[in-house]
Amino acid sequence: MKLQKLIILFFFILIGFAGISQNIMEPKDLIPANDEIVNWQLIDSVNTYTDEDLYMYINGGADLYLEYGFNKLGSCKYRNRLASKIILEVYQMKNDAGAFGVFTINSSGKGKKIEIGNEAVQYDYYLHFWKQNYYVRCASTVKSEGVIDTLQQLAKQVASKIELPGKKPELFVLFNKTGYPFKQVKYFKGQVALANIFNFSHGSVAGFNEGISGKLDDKMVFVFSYENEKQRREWFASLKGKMNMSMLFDQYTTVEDGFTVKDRMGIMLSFKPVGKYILAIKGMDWPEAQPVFEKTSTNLP
Amino acid sequence: MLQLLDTFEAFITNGMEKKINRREFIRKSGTLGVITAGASMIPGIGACSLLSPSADISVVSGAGYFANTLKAIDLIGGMKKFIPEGSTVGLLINSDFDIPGTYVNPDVAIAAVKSIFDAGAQSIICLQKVKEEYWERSSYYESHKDILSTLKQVETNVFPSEYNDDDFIKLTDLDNNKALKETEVVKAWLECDVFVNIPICKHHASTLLTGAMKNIMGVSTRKANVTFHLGSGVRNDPDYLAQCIVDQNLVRKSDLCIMDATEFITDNGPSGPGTLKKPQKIIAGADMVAIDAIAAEILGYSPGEILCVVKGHESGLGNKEYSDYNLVELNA
Repeated sequence: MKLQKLIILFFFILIGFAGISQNIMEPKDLIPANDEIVNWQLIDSVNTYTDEDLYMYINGGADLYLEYGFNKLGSCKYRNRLASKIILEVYQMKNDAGAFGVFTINSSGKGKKIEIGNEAVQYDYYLHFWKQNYYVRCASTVKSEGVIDTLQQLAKQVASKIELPGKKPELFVLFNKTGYPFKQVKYFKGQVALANIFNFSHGSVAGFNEGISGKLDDKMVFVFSYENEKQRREWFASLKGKMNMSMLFDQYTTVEDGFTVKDRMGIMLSFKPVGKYILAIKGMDWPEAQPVFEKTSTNLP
Repeated sequence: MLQLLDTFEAFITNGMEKKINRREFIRKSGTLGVITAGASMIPGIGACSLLSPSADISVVSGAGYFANTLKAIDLIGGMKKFIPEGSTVGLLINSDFDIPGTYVNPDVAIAAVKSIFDAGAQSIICLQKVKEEYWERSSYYESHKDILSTLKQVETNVFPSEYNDDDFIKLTDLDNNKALKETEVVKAWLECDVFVNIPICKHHASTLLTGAMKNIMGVSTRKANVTFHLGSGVRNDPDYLAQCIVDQNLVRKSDLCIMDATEFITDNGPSGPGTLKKPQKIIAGADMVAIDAIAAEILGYSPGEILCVVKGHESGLGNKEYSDYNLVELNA
């Protein structure tokens, strides 16, 4: 009976490995060849970068991708007869959440949603999308008529070669269950991304595994998730100390189990610990924040 | 002088100038753009400043980037104030990007080159290689081809640059620095008589602002720059990165900064693509910390949020309180 169970387990492990090898493709294999894009030619070959080699490709800003769990990049340039260039980048992240996270942080909220991959947004000279554990971006070096069609064509070619749609992180799903019409939702894994959303005084909110933020009109709601409640307690104590001393915030006030501060523009921020989470709301004082804290935290496990 | 008169004429015809302090700078709207519009409602102010140029920092706004760069330089006393006759000038232009809003507008860089030569420089060396296709993006390229062809280049300093004995030098005696104890930099940076820094104001994922101080990473090898990011032993250590940037600037300060804040990305920086903002401003001055503090506000941050600005101020590299300076703004 034991042996039977072991065989079954082994069988499932084999299936699992087979599944992974089927779904994970090399970024360079996702890049369309010359004959796949009309009127555009690949310049040189596709360059591949792995892990910290990314610093050799991105002239500043590699930290962001590494923070999200960067694995491998395939990058190339196309040129047309007018000498315009398109840069195509296929980032393979360690998991779907990483690809989704990069997509959210790189989305300004001003683009137009289009149907490519899992989610895609198009701007006037570039577009980006995520699918499975890939984040893909293609950009033109000039704004010109017709280039968007080519960008879309390229993106669709790449997306068609990626097998699975990809799964959004659980924290995102729970965040959306609040029913609030959050805009510009950002999923983040560390300080670099967080600083690009809102500067909580240089690393004062720290130690979290993952986090999510969303805009509610001019307000902003943050959820920081920690390994466990004990860790959260330690980091919350540290956060209180740092915010109390911060040059960027003042009027630190302890309220019930949380606290409030005001930023340099006079905007109130409220912080509340809930289980293994820290919730923060920018733009609401403590009484106003309570129902939002409550509604958000009821969905958190 | 002729140039100054030309500028003055253009000023009288098209623009208005106003000396402002920091409180006023921020109060009117929280951004510099609206302040300029506000200033343009008050005709005739500030002509005295042009006749006796004494500004420490100038901010010139408007659509003609080539002319506005020349105006910005004139307002701080003219290029001759910074360039001794017959000098060798090291020029660091943030040019090595392709995406709109990620590189210095070549009109700005060409105006700076022209101004440096007009001031009597013997030679200009680009401390980071500037590709021909960069210059070709400017409508001023054809008319300035001759002077651009005389520019010397540190040919091997092209991203991602590798150390070689001919062009680079290892600095290992930086014991007084807080973070950066050794680095590899372009020799010509240390050897030139005058160092002119031409950064772009844009977003940067790690430092939030790519400005004058951050631009200094353009004179070091990629290996050295990677240690700025990873050298503390902690990946993504913004404190360490900012301090390294400041430390490298302390090796040699910029003699003059001409910052392009005309059109730039406000997110997804520094490589982009990202959301474009178009404040159409040129900022000129010698204090790179003050200039970065102004740039921070144009980008939407407070100077205190930018670690490079905070640490640059603390380390004595410059003064983030730009209101301490005579700052002149011109709406051209």
